[in-house]
Amino acid sequence: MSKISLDNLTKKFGIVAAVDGINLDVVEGEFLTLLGPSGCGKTTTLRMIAGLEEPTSGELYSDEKVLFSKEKGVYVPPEMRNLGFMFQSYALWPHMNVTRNITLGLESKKIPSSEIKTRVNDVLNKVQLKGYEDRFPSELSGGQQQRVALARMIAAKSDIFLMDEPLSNLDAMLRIDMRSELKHLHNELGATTVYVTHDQVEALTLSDRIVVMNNGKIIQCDTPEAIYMNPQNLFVAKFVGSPPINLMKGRIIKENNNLFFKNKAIKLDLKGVVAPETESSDIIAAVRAEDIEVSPSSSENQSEAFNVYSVLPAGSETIITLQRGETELAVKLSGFSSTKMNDSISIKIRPEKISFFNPETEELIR
Amino acid sequence: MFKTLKFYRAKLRSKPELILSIFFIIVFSFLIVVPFLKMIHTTFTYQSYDLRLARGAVQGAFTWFHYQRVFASDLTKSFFITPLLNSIGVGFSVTIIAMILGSLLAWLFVRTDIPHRKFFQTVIVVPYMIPSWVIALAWQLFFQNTRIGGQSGVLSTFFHIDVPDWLSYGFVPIVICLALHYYSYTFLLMSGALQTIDSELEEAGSIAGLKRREILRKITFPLVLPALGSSFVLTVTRSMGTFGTPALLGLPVRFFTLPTQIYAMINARNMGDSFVLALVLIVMAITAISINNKIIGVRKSFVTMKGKGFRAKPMELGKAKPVLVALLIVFIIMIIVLPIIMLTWSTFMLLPDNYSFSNLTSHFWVGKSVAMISSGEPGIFRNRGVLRATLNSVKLGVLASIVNAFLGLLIGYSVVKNRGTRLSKLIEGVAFAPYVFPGIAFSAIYLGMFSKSFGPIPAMYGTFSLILLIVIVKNLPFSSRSGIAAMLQVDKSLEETASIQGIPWLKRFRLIILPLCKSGFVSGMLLTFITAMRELSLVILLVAPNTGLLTTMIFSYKTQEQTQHVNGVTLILLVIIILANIIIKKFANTKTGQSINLG
Repeated sequence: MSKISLDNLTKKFGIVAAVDGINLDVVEGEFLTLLGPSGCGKTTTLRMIAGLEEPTSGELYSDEKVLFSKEKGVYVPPEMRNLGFMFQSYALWPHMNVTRNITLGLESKKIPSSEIKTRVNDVLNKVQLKGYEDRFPSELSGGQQQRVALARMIAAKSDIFLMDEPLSNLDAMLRIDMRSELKHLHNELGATTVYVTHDQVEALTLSDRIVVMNNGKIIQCDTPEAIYMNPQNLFVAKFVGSPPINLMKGRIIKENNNLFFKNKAIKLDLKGVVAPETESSDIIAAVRAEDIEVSPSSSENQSEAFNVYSVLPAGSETIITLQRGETELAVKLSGFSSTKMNDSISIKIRPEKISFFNPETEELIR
Repeated sequence: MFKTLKFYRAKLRSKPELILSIFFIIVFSFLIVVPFLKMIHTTFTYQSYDLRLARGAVQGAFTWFHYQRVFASDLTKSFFITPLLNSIGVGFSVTIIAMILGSLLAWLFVRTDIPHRKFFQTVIVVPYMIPSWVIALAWQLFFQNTRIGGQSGVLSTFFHIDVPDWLSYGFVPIVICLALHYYSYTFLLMSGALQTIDSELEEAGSIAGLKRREILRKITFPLVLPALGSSFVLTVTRSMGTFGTPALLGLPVRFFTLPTQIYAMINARNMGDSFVLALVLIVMAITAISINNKIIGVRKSFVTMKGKGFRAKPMELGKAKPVLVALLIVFIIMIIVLPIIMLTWSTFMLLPDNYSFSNLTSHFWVGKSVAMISSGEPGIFRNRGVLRATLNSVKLGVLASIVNAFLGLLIGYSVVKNRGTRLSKLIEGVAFAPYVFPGIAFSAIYLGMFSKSFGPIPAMYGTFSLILLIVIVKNLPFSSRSGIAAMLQVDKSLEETASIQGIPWLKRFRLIILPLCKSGFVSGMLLTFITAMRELSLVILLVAPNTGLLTTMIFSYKTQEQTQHVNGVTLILLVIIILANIIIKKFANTKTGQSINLG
């Protein structure tokens, strides 16, 4: 059963379509992430679900109930939608202390005060902010402010959480902590969550499903694994993954009944895979940094060796950039590597790890 | 059809900013647009005044008569050209002097190590609070000569100096008195701008090898340009449109500016011609504003740009310090201390030009009515008229400031919430329109509109309500500006998160928006209170004997040449304004502890 349904939802600012007729079903209880570069329409989509932005056309449902539809004459204001929303800025009321920030909304819902008290107690325990009840937002650190915002959202006990880049104002360490807390919390509460981010790592780590958006349209909607392993087009391939996926322009050629991918710098044997039938036209081959194997070049394959342009050790992994002619490849190795700058390196890529894209349509060929 | 209707009803109910906008559109068209159209209509039709001047004229019939008379007749020179040139001359001279003075003072206080900064800063903005014509009153006490009529001033009595006419009345004293008031506007705007400039920007310039003068010219000046532009427009439009000072120092020698000319015409019931002149003033103000917007428009963001507002090392004045401090003290004595002492002293003088101690009396403060003195007017503290005027003025100030502060906030809310839409621009624009209306012409229109019952509104001729109404409308430009500024400070997510949590609008407004806008709200209140208290030209036509205000009382005492009463009532006005300032500042300071900014 779908918890939230977007039916051809469109938002235009003037003549520009910020969100361009998207269809999406959010499944009950799932953690769904809207991922995309800034200006892709992900935040606008989220704000339309919340009712903060009025769609230009299309329909919006929750639990099969209409939330918005011009044709049906329905407009449910945000006050009546009964959902939780977490803002990038946390939106804590600066003139109210932590308790008041949490209780203000509960009072409006006519919840008895004894119940409110227990809820405040519960949520503050949950976000580990016991003892901070009387602090004002300005007296809290960024991470603590974020927890208050989280507590405030949880306390309302709605079964839909909407989050707009809630972690982007935190420093790197805290962000990683909060990721695991959000995931744990989602598992514990089971609320349907729509999460907006431009951080692909965040999307991959948190989500049940990822919706990649660009220019107001949905590009691909899939599990994190499918998004990472089988990007349906170049945009998704380039946007997801760090370091970014390696792209090589070239052609498929046939030699001695064997297919090869070839450009000026590289010639890859495609033995054992069903290669695309686009012989003799340009094609883009994509391969992830961790799918390239390297070895010091010996004298016999010297002609195909790459030059090491940079070595970037980061503890658990080392990223090496290789260069040959105009082709540049990033390779990810685990741990530290003995490779030095300007070393000569030869590479090996298993054919089944290569994806091919049409350079014109940018769609996946295979 | 029914469904669309249902949809818009639901939408309207969930968007209070839309309801507010519609409300404002209706109210504004009634209180601002209609009067303006009436003004234009009057200029194109025969008025009762014209009937004996134009052969065969029918009252209310269309005519170019007024335009012809003002712009192309034998009277053009005295009706239009001379007042126009006088206004322009006064306006630009005042602006140049005031801007140089204000900018230098702002620089001195923000950027140098001048001692007692806080004290000086407080004192230097006193002219901003008091009516501009108070200095004109003091000027007369000093420089009056007997040739024009009235009493002789300090200079001619004490030092037996024959004060030339050009120094006692007319262009020169008007310019000086206005400049000594309007410098405070530039000072406030420029200190604000200088404080927001990040000193790192200038330091980066000096590291890049720019000389001090180059930094000033190429970095600092462009950054404060928006503030300079605002000061220019503000000073030029206000000094050309001001009434009190040119009336006090110009009318005795028949030196007319556009506002005093309009006043003279309205007094003669010549509405058509006076409104043509009012339109001239309006066009001039709009021109100044739009030129400023054209030039500065795109750079406006500089002013709001965030800086640390903190300068590590102020410029050292060194040897110049004591000289500058001495100059400052002299300046303050000349423009604030001396005028107030003179005003006070004059109220204790039995004969207005006898400065001997034997001439001192407390009659004008506490004396009973004596037919010989001041046409039997009792002393100020025994005077029922003064008491009533004081109460009326305070009532006007308090009511207008409360209503305006709320209206300003609500206008700000609907403008900011609808930002980017045409509706938002329309409301912002119309709320600003009263700024360009000359006060006297505006009140003449209101007098005509509301003297009979008008739709659901009863006749308000001679009532306090009419005065309150026009003061509120005339102050809308400022209160809406400060309301918009206050609303822009409140991150929209703060209200959105409340609405998502199901908190209804009234509660959101009361518990979240109002507290967060408190400092803007209070400063808006103070501003309205001060302007309402010192309003003269706007209310002078509207007061009836029992609705007199302090300002109109001062003006009528002035026309009766009752110097002691003029100055005494002025002092009362000053005391009230300064007290209100202190009270509101105290109140505002204790409660705005928490920062409004997010994150």
